[in-house]
Amino acid sequence: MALLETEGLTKDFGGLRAVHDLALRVEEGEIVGLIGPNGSGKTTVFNLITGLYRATEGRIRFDHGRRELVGLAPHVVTGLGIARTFQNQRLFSHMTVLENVLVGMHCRTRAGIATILLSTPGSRRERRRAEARAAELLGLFGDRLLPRAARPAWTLSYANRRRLEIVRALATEPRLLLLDEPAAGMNPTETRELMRDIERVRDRGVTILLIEHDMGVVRVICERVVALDHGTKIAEGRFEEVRQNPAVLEAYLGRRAGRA
Amino acid sequence: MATAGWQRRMAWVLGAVAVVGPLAAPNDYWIGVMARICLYATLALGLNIVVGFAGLLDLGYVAFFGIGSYLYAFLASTHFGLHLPFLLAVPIVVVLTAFSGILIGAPTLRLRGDYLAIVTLGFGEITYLLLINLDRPVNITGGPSGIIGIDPPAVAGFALSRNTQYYYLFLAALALTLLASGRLRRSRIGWAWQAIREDELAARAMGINTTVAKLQAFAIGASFAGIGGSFLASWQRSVFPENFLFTESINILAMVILGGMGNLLGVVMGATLLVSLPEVFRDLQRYRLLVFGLMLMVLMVFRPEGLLTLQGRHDEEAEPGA
Repeated sequence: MALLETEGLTKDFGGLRAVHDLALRVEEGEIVGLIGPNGSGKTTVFNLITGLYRATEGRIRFDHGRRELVGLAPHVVTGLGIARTFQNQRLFSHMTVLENVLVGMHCRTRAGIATILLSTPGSRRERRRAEARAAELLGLFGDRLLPRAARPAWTLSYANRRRLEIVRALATEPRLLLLDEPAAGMNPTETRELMRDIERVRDRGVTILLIEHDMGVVRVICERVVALDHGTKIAEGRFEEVRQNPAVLEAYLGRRAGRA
Repeated sequence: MATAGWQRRMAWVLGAVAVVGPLAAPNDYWIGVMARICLYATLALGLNIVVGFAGLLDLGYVAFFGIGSYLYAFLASTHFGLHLPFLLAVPIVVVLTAFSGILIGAPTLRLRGDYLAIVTLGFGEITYLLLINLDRPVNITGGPSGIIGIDPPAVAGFALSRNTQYYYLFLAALALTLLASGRLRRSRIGWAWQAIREDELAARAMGINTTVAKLQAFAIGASFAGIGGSFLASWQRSVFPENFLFTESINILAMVILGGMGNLLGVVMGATLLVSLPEVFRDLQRYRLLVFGLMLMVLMVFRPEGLLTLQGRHDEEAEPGA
């Protein structure tokens, strides 16, 4: 089985069926793109996988079929090794850049109230290690974030905030990283840099599922693409194949599809 | 960060002033005021854990202060005839008050913002009503006339009696709660609290068990009130329901907000101002509360983030697009 596999995944909001009978498969080490017009259910799929929403029907299996995710609380899902970024940045604005990353390490550290209050050598060691690791992760983006580690997150530029969201997610030590429109609002230079960074993250052994509207990004870095429309999978395969698919053209351009 | 540097230096200076303070006090009354400052600063630090760190607006914090005071009164007074030694009674009270924090916190876990505020306000009122009414059918709290004949703090046969002695005891408690707050703030639990304050949903997605983290905040916050409550009871030698009115919750909350939510030194300064200013204006007689209220309004208009702000809340400009 694949690292992540959904089966008959369905989510209803009252009368609205946001995701319908979705079979999604992500293999270990892949970069998979999830595309589709606005409102096609992409972010809902992320919210279902990460436990923020509970599936109306269907299964979500992680870790090669070993774990069922439906019904698990979000922090448990994160603990199992799935992290995400948000489409509309949700950084901890008044915490420093470094602290944002340290929050991500919460589920990989153990110190309890008593050991913290007593400041035991063990808890101090754990904190120093976490801080060093957080700095190391910030270094992933060269000198974009590391020199600003002590600043509040809200002082970062837009692109740097997107980068920090990725670092914060990586701090949870995920096996699967869900990126929700990582290139949104970035200029072409920043986008190129981002694509390299995403591939570097994958080369560290993190599988990536990403939602993206920038087809340039999807074409270059995604090995496989899944297209959604009205919560239903309408195409799947290599980007070039999916792009030619009549159902995809219709979803994006309307019935009287013109040029691709 | 530069701000943190001067705040640390200022904390040391204030600490030194606090230690020699009683020598400069004009009379015993003012030493009593200083003791009250330490007591309220301890309480404000406890509320700061809940409101300042975790961002949970608790309007009924005085309930924990009351629970702590009455628990101490139960354990060390003629009321039930129990006379546990101070050093045994206080830890028991602190643990039980922390537990009451979990009990009261648990039903509010799903609530946020104004809804949480209203429910905690209700808990504060319920606690007050219990204190005032639990003298029948069995006399537990002494009803409106409270509990008197509470033991003073005594260690190894030496009982505290003078205000100066109480002052140093309360100062020690304040130092301890400051240290605890500082350690918690720079820990995985403190970071989890702040993450919940900033964005609860993102905090959950980042792997934080928000149920556990919030209960920890309620428990620690309440335990500080347990310390404060024990000290109030043993200092006054009596406790009355009127010590724990809703206005006290607001008073303590004002200390936290005035000082700058989440900022430890700021919270202590907030407590110092709110306890001492009414005393300074005592000569103005019945106008003193008016002057006091006006000063608060002026301060909040000109420094809405509080006297001392959260780290760099306003001292950094957005970087020119990187």
